[in-house]
Amino acid sequence: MSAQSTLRKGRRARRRQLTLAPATVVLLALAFTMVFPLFYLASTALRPASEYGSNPFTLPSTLTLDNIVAAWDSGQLGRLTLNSLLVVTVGVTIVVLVSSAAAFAIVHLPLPTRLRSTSRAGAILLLALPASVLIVPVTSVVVDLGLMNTHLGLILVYASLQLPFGIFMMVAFFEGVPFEILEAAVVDGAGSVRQFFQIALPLARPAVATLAALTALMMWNELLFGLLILQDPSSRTITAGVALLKSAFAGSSNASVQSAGLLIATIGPLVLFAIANRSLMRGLVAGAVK
Amino acid sequence: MTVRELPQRTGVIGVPPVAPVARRRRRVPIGIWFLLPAVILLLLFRVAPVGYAFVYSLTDWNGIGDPQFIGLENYARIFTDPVALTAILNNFWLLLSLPLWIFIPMLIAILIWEGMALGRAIRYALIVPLLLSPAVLGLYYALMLQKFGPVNEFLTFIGLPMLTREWLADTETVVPVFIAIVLWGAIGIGTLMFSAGMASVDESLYDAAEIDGAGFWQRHFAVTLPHLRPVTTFWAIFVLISFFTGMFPLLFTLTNGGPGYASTTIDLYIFQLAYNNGDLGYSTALGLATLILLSGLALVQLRLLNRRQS
Repeated sequence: MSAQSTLRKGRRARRRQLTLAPATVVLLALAFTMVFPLFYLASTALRPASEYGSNPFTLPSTLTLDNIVAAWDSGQLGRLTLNSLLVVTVGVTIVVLVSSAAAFAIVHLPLPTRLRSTSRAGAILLLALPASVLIVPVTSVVVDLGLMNTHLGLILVYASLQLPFGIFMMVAFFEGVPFEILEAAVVDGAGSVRQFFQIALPLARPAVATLAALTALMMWNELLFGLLILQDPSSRTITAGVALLKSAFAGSSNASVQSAGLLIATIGPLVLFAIANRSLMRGLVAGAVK
Repeated sequence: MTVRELPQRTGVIGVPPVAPVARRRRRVPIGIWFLLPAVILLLLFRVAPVGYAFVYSLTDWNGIGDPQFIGLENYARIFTDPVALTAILNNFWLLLSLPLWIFIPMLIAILIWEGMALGRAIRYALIVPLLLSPAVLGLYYALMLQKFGPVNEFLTFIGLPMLTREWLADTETVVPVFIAIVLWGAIGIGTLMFSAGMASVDESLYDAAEIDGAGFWQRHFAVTLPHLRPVTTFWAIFVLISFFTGMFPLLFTLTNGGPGYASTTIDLYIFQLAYNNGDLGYSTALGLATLILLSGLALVQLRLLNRRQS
């Protein structure tokens, strides 16, 4: 871009911003509604229950941790958070390893040709097949495998939900890696396994990070199978537990406690966003930039 | 055959430079081992259920006893079941709102691209609902839309007390409200998608259009829309699928289908049939029927979006 056109862009940009001012105001209002939940939940949770309902748009005059403590105790939220952490950690590990291995095989390893193309097509097809309408058959499979009401059962279901996308993503990545990089290892006589773990995976770190972040977000926030597969209240994920909070806390006098519970439930994804926001943003548009 | 001679741009590792074909056939290709875990998991949890579904949908089953074969009765029941019909109607309303789901994020992405002030911050802000799970959002809005909740308070505050109502308990408002909420939640990703699509547009096309005297709307109609076609197609299909399969978490915590069944959608009903009523055969049949309907709709949508080209 020449210096002249950059100047033109500068002046034009400012003029444009003026003409767009009304739209900007509308969008700022919209953006406000998007962030407001965080503010509202924090504000409601941190003020005494007796002050609930009094002008939620201002900061509370007195801060209290009572609601948070109450939500934590009565909802066993500590335990539920640990459950979620367990499910997400193991689940993400499985998805990343299995997707990468499968993608590595599809792109680089000797396979019967028909199998290679079928796997590719299969991954794409499964991407479009929603599992949430097939809940009865899926839970049937879980029951038949003896994994009902176990964390492992939920983890495997979650993994199976993310695998098609994971494979799709890692195949796209590996296809973009020039073979020469791996060739050096072949010359050195390294076997496939070593090539995978010592070269391909480290090379794929950005793609792996993105996949891990997206998978973590999906598994943390998933509700449907969380409710179906884990029946024991103390083994549930925090999302499932919080979704059922409504029946636990009835009446608006407990809205403060409920808000506290919701606030606690959002900490996980917020931490994830703080750590991995570039990976997340990149991953969310992965489908658009083809 | 050396590795370099293989026609693929990618090499095939693990094949020794001089490998007698006979020896390779006796060993299991190493790739199979790498592929196996994925294949097992997917066959077990994604493919097998489809087969199960066909069988279970033809039965009456409560999950405890044995399934009783009843043929196509479950499918016939869909047409006379008032709840199913309400759910289908609600999904139909969602379908009608599809243009909003496409053009609102698109417009926002265009505005941000055009250099609107605070564009980046706005884009980040729009993402927040995505981080909060739909379950949390449902409970949040249930709190917000209560009779004496913040929304009604705000309406009174700005001088519109006649508009206050029990938004989620009123059969006339519950459906528009929930559609507005799900749309609101999706604007963030939609904007991200279209923004990513905008990033690769050829700016000289806009300059050319401006020289020809095209205004804001004309410019974008002529240049942006065609450029964004693949993104739009992808997004539209994604949204369409989510209408029939992704409404559950938010609705479960927002209204649980209520009042009565007024805000039930198909995927919520499928869940309730299984979870609350133990009517597993019917739930499966409804699920399969939805899948078939969804495939049909997706094909129609693909055809519509591709026809606009010519």
